[in-house]
Amino acid sequence: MKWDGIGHKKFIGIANFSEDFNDLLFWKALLNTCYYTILVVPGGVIIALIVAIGLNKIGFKNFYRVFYFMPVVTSSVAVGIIWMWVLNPDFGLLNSYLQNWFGIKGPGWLTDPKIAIPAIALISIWWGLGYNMVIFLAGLKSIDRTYYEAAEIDGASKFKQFLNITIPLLSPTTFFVVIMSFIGSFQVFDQAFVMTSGGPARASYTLVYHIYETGFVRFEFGKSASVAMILFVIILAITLIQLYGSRKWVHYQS
Amino acid sequence: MKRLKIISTMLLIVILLVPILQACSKDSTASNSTASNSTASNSPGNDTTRPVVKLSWSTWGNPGEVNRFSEFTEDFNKKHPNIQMTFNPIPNDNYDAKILTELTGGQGPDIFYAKAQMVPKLIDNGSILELGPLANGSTDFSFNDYFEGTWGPTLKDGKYYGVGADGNPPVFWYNKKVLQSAGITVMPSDLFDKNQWTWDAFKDMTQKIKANAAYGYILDNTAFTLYNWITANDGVIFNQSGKFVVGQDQKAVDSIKFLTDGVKRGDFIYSSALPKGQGSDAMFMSNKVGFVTAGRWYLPNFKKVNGLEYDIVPWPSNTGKQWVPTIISGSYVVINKNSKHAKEAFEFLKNYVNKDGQTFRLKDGGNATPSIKDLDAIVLENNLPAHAQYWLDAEKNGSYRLYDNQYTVPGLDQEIANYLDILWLTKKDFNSTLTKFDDGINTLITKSKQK
Repeated sequence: MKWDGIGHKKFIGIANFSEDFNDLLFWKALLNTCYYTILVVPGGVIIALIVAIGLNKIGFKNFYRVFYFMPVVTSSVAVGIIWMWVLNPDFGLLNSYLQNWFGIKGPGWLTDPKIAIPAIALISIWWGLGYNMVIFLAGLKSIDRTYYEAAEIDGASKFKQFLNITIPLLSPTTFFVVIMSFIGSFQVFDQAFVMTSGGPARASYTLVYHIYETGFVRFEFGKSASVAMILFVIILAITLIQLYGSRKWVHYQS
Repeated sequence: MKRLKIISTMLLIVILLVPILQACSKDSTASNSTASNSTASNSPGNDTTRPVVKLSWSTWGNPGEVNRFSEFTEDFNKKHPNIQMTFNPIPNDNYDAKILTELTGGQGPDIFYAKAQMVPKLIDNGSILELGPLANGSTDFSFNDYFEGTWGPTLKDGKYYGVGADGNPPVFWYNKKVLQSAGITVMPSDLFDKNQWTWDAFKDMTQKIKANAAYGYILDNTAFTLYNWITANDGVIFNQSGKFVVGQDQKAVDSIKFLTDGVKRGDFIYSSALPKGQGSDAMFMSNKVGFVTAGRWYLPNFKKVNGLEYDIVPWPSNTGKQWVPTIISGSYVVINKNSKHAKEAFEFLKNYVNKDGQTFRLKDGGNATPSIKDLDAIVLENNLPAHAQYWLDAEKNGSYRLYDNQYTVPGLDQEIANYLDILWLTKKDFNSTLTKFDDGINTLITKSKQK
């Protein structure tokens, strides 16, 4: 469909899709999104697992659960604006601490093209930590204590218990968290929109940002919709691949 | 128990429906204006026998501007008891996208500002009204009252589709305190009057400011700023066949080199290197920068800041001439074709852009210079700032309006800003980036023309 948002709509077959694949901006957006995903998914899942295991062992669980979950229920715009100030190169908290404690001049976190995506990924990990952590906690609770008791009687160390009981029996939860993190990271938009507007030098120009800019800046709504369809297919394909792969590494207790 | 369940379910449905219905409704929009305009009259706003017509209008603006627009709307409503106009400001960031979404959804305002780049699209789509038929027979409105350069893209094939709300020749705002504390004694306007306001003089000042721990100049990441620097060196941006040639024209290359060197030395700070939200006006008001470039729209905020000492000077020249051509940005007031009350909407538009309207909006340090003739006095009022006369002189001394490509190629400004980011934020090779710059922009222009 060729449509500028207001005027006449014209059916143009698959021309939008072929144009997408010849568009350097599309590939740039896809590359940035993959880079972001590579940083966010493993980082987010591992940190959430560590925090969940830590919380599973200590008291005041509910307090810490609320503490970590608070960013999840905070609006993305509020989160973005707060972090913009924290990461401000001139008078942001982070650079001030770096300067005062370590004598290091901090970078322009959101204004340096090389650091923009890692900075946004870091914020996203912090933002999504509570959600993943709560799910991991529920997964940890569901593991039957008898496995640990049997392992202890057999003389297995804590680390071996973690490796051979916790990780395998937590795999259904891990699988769910990984799938959701993949989907979420491929749909990243708010952070790039609020904090960097896809810049600098299109360093944080993601696929959803490309969908937005194609539609609402270039007024090519048909092309924008075609990118959205491609994104849907990418997410579906990744999910199916993971679903297929999960047969080998996901173990259910019963 | 069963009864309680039914009541609870109904209550839940009502609670869910209320916000949904609220979300779907909107006051005072073009699509649901309340009264009929079947009884025609020459001044529809003042006929007390007619039912009250609800209309809405939208534009962007900084807090100072929005305040002035609200005051104007209130004043208009008082003088036109039959029209109840509502002002719905829209943030400048992504204004086009927001207004387009409203228009597409049939919820667009009756009257709105359209940026030059959007006007041709709105005309082609039939989204805005031609003003000629509405102005016919009007005794208090004439298209001839306005400066010729005001119309820009709104004048197509001899038909008027909007009116330039006002004009805004770009100038350098300088912070006197910052300059003085850097040891600068002769102010830029004094140099300008002696025809000594050159790139060298500007560079010298920014270096002194930088040495005194402030930013010399905030270099905006906009196409307009780039164009002005190039034309200030007699460079060519688009050649005669409409090709973008800033990487081929030697004077254009020299201009970009001058800016690149300034950014490298740290005398100029490129605005994309500043965090989003840390705008040049905020930096200026907190005495952290010596020079920023803008039109008169900074004035409503600057004049409110206690102790802020500022003045303006035209663009520095590298051609030996005192005045160099700079681009005048303009925005246009247009009427939504779906407005059910076109006459009343035109009544507002007329009052907004006529002498009284522009006087109301632009007096006491308003946000722009008039687009209507014989209103120079309001720009000079109260010496805000001392050299306000430069704005009036700018139009007579070689300023120009937007390039045609600027009107017609969607996304051109964003693409230019992207290449400026590459030039001034990354360490990529200068010459090869300029070649890619030309190629990238020309590809975009060609694609746009093919469509």
